[in-house]
Amino acid sequence: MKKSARYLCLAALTGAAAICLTGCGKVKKDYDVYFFNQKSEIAESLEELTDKYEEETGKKVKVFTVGTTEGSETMRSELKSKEYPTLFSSNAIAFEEWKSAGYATPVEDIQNEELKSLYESVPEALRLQFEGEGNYGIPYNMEGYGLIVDEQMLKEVMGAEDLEAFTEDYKAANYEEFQNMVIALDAFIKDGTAQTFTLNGTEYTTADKKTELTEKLNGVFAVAGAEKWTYGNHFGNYPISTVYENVYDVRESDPDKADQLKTPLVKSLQELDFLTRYTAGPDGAIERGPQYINSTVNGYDQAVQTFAESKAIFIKNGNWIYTNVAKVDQNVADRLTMLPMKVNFSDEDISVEGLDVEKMNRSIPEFVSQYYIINAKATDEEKKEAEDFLLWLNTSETGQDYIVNKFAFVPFNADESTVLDNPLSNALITYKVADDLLANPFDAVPSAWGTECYGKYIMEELFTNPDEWSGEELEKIADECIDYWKSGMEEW
Amino acid sequence: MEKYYKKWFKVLSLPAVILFVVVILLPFIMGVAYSFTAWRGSYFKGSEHWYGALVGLKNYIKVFHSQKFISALIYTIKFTLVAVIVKNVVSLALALMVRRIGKGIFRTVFFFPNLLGGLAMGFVWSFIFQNVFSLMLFSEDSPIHIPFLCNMLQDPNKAVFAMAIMATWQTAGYLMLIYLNGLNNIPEDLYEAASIDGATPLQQFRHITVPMLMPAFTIVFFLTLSSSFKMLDENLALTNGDFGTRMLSLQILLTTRENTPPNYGMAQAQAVIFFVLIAVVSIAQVIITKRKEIEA
Repeated sequence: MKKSARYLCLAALTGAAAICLTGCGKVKKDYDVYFFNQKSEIAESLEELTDKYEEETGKKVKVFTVGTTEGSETMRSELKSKEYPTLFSSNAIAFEEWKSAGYATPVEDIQNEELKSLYESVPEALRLQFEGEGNYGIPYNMEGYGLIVDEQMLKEVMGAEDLEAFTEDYKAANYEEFQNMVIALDAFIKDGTAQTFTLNGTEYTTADKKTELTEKLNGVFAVAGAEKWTYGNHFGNYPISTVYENVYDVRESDPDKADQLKTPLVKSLQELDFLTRYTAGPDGAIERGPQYINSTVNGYDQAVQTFAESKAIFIKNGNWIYTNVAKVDQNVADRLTMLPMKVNFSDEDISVEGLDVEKMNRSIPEFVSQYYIINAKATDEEKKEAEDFLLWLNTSETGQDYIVNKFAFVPFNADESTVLDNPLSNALITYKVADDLLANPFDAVPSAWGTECYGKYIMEELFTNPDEWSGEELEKIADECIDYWKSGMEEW
Repeated sequence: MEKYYKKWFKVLSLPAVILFVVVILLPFIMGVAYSFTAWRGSYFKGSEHWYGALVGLKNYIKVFHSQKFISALIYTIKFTLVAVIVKNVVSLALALMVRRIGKGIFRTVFFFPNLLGGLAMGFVWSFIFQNVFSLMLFSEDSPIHIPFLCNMLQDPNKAVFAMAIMATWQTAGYLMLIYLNGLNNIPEDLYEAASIDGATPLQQFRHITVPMLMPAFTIVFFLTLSSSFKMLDENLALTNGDFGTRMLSLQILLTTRENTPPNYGMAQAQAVIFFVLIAVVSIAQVIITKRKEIEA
């Protein structure tokens, strides 16, 4: 008896362990579509939208959202599980992994004809491609970054009612004129007297006294010194854009092409040296030094707040900043607009065909943050359900309403008629319609070059140094950045 | 009772053995195999199966040529040296102290930090170092201006101590308990005899406490050595590896994040090297300290 009890116990334990370890053989799925979303901002509205889809069609969509930092790791295991997502999302770079692992359905394999034509309507430059070819996804939205400014602030600083002429001249202005403008604005902030500068050859004068709003200013720019991505990635995109046309160009080119980055890199660092001398802070201007990169003093949230509290005229950032500004001051958020960043390059520095300084100076980088992709390893039935949902999401009235109003996205097919709550998104559409766009090749840099090399040097060696950065030092940094780039490519 | 254990030993240990095999042993063996392949997370480059994507020692060669790995290794060793000393000195001092005064309350207070999560505490300490230390307590405007304690996270040498301070604060209470247990096991009559012979407290400590505490030293050294070597949370939260403060665990973690598609093969090779290093160091340490253990 005792012995049999022992064996029984043993058997039960082993059985239990086996069940725990292997899971059930066949999974019964209680949904029709499983969508793995990697954009956390839209998680709530997406749940609402899928409820509406269920009401309309009776199909149940399961949504799982994880933000992009841990997103890939979670999605990797989800795709391999038995309850795999039938529809998932990816950015253009991470896509290489999902494509290579066989999860991406190309446009040729899309069964739904309507959805197929939607894939085909995506402009060439925005398509999700593999090694520069094919068409594998529908873009979520467009995002872009530049120099963000509160229009009311600009009006009061300039003592002008109308900014149209100023904006036009600003876009056409060159880098020297931009520098003079910054110096004049800084002088205005310091003593509130009229300052004169020229843009595109036209003379402008600031107001000769401060108003309630301009009284708050203590610097020209808000800079998140502790956040490497703001200058490492987004600012780093400007020098990269002079050499590489787009993400595929970065991935496919010979490593030695990176040598051409030398002069643009040095010049971009000189520009940062200039810009960071005019930094606003929470309690008065901040100088470069240890405090500049102290995340409890000059982090991203703090920089956005400094800007939103009208202590700085400009902040270089993207249209996503709107919600954070709105949390501090809704009025400021609704008055935002985006100007192009000026670049310290000459035409000789730019080797990308069809690009020149004039074009760079009036354009902003725009890119697709995520794409919807149909899981190629799903069954035909599951694919069909996923396709129907994706089509409905992008073309039905409810779906489009959500994309524009609830997700607050700039749709990839936006035109003049698209109007959004976020004025920065409207600005993006204006640049898109005028075709004043730059690509976003930094997305493809090897070994996190933007934050682990370029941005790291900027933070550790330059932002902590209050003196002017020596040319020698900048050249050394540029050389090391190029070496890092090349050795990073070897790890691919 | 002993008979009961003898009879049921195999059954009772089965769950632990199964868990160990499935959660640690199998992944470990697979990991070693994968470290020789072009593993990219979701797929093996150039093949459907791992054995089709074998690249030999290529991942290992890349690791030893990687500047990041080498500097992470050196920095980890530096940190370990400092942390092991600081943790042991502090926890032994605490143990000697609470043995005499405020038994209950101090033991509890010193043990508290050990209950808190590493990452969350890391962010709290990041605020302490960046704000409280650098801007308030020891800043230039403060009466107790100590430059060494300002901006500790912006210099690799200072950061070693910043991380050691935090790690000590977190683990000293736990190590203190081990030492305390060791101290309590030393028979009082040894001290009594020594003091009759005219030994000073310092001599008593050197010739009685230290040799008698050797078993505790073995355990505490082993724990501090391996935990300092493996430290991740504090490194991530305090400096995120900036200013040349990246340690080995963080280096392995970031290897999978810095490249797309992620180079898991290379990360795995680093993990294998990491394992061998820790194993060799820990075993050597245990052998050496064991030799010094004595029976009363």
